[in-house]
Amino acid sequence: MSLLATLLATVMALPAMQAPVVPNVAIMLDPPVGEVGLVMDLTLSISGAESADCNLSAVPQVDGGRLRMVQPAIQSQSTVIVQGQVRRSLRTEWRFQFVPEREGTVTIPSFRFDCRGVLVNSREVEVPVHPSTLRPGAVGLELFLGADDLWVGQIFTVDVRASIDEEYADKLVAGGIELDLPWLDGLPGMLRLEQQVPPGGQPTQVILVGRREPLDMRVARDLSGERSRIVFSRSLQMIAIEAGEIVLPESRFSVTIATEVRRDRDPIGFYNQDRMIVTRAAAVDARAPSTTLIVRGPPEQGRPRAFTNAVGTFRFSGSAGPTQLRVGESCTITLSLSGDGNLEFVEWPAFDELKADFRVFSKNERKLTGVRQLELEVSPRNDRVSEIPALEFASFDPERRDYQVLSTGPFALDVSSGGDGGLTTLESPVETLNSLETIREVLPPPGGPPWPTWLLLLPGALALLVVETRLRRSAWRAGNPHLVTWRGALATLRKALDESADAHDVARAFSKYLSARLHGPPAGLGAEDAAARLTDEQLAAELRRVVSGWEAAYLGGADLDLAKTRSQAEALAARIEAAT
Amino acid sequence: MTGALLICLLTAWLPRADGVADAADAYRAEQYAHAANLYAELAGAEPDPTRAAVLHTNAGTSAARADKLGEAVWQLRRARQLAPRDAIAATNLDRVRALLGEGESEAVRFTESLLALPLALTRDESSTLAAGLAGLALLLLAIMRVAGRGRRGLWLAGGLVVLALTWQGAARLAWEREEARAIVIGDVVSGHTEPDERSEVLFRLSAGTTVVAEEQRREWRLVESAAGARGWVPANEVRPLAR
Repeated sequence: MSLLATLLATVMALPAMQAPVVPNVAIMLDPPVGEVGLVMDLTLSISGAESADCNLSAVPQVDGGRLRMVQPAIQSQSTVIVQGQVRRSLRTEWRFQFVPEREGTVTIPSFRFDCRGVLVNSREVEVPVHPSTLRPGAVGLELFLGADDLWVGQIFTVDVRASIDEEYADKLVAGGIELDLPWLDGLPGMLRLEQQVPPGGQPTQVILVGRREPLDMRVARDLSGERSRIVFSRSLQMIAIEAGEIVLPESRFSVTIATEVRRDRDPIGFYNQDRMIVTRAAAVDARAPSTTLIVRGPPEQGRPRAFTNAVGTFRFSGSAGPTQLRVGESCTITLSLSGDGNLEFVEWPAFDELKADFRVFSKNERKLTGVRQLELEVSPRNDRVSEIPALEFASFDPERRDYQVLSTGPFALDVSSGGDGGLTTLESPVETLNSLETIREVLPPPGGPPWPTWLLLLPGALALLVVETRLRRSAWRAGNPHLVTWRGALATLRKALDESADAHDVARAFSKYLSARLHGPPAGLGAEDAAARLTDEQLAAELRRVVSGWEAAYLGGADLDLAKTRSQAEALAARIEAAT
Repeated sequence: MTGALLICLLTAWLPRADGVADAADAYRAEQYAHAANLYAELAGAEPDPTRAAVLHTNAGTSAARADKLGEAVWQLRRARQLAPRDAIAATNLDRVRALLGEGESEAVRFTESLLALPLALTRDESSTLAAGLAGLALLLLAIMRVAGRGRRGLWLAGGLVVLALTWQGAARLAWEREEARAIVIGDVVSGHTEPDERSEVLFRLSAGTTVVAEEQRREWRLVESAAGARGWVPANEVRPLAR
């Protein structure tokens, strides 16, 4: 039973255990037979259901030829129905240019694909290559070095001179000129200096292998030889930065020339002109051999103290100002360096000769075109300083193979005493330490806690409050005179009532109150007159009754009760206030 | 005679309550490092700012004489924070900086002194000044109201209040800037790319250098020097000026 189950499982798993379908790899070379320099089209394709998972993992290096991809992968898909079954096909294609570089049989090794971990190789292609039909010496490349032996820091030129026989100049394919200068971006021990194209000749741009930016070159016609040639030239500045050997690798100049063209009607041209289509092209190379440069370090013997790394011929000058100053003030020394050499890379000397008499505050550098400037801000340490010493700059002259010492100064100074706090008159660390203020052995008495800061706001706030209140009260009184008079009359009555000695005083005060309240004469108002000015009849009658009683008692000589009279007056005043 | 001897013995035996005297004794005995430690401890425990400033100044002076210039700069800077117009702290700080070779150009010195102008007053003094200006503004407003020139008074008072607020803001910024700084205490401190001893060394700072202290990660602190060098240094080698 168990054996049967195992067999069944194996049978069911069979489809999954089948070997993976290997995609079909095709390689086609056009034309199949080449010649040296001929530009041949190589088409590589991979097709089949599994090809979507395949990547081109390695492009082979061809011994005896150059292989260059001109079109990356392009995928195409097709669907075919055969006897009711739908079949889909996927194809990926790459295009290359192959240029044979030698005669005989050149083998293009396998291209390698990675199909989900499975490596698939194309077949190898053997190409029979015949000799070139182009004339030998159709192109040329020469490199001229500006110096035989080099020193570290020395700037030298490499002149590149590429040429084409003028016979082929008219047959150049568009974009068919390229230079391969593998040392152009610098090598260990050597750097290229950026510079503009020197004047002379017509400017053009030449494609550089492996770089996006073309190289600006000058084009001119050379008639000095047997056959006239078109010459592309460029002078490049390099600097040697390390001692040792620098190997400039082989350089190459390639030109692609149309060897077969077809005339075709231009479908876009306005006048239906014919156009030439290149059907066959050949590349022709010229190579400049590898060169070795020997770079030596500047000699130890006779090396001046002020030498840093300057190599070349320089001019060194300086100025200082102000020349009249006090101790503690500063003076600026401006140094300028120019000349031919590694100016851009020169390190300034330390100028230690300044440190004895000056404090160096700052060193500011400016790089101008063709000139380096250094500004030193220095301050004399004491008033005995009378000059800025001569400052030296040393360089190595590769022409004379010797050191050159340049100097500027000395600059006379007029230093007077004084300065801020005497600090800069100090001359040594010991003196500085001795000049420290000593410790305080007695501490000041402890201060109390700080005052709350809001207390400072209090006087102003209070003053403002009082002033504002008074001003507003005055304004209100000015705006309400009747109310002020009435309130004054009532206050006067209350005061008079308090101070009255008998009923007669009460009657007199009440009469004056009535006059003030009811707009009577200053001397007072009688009961009848006051009652006549009241609109409330009942109140008028009450006023007449009470005041008549006081008058009758006064005229009859009867005694009036003072307390009763006061209360009557107060009651009447309260009713009059309420009524008016 | 016996009484005098007894007093002398008691004086010698009784522990001296005043640590300041001990520190002064150590200084006079030229035990500067010990004196610096004693003064620093006393300064840390002193609540009164004026007295603490004197103690920090003494600690800084002692440290300078003990050739601990980083410590000296820190103590003297702290003294100036507490008592900005303490002439002795200012003088000794300038001289220690001269020992360190920290020269500044006139332009840099002018800019620095301008930015540090609000530091001429302590934080409390700045608050008092601002409050005083505001109080003066209210008083002026009251006087101008009495004189019947209320509108002009309002403008003057407003100006004074703006002045007070500006000063307070400038003082706050200057103090925040000051307290974001730290002093290099170690003789030579290496600035690393990462908070790790094995990482690449970018620069070195000498004792007494003022840096801007930023974040701290474990035992490392990120600092930036005035020249723009930025890197991680051991946290115990730099001491922040923040209180």
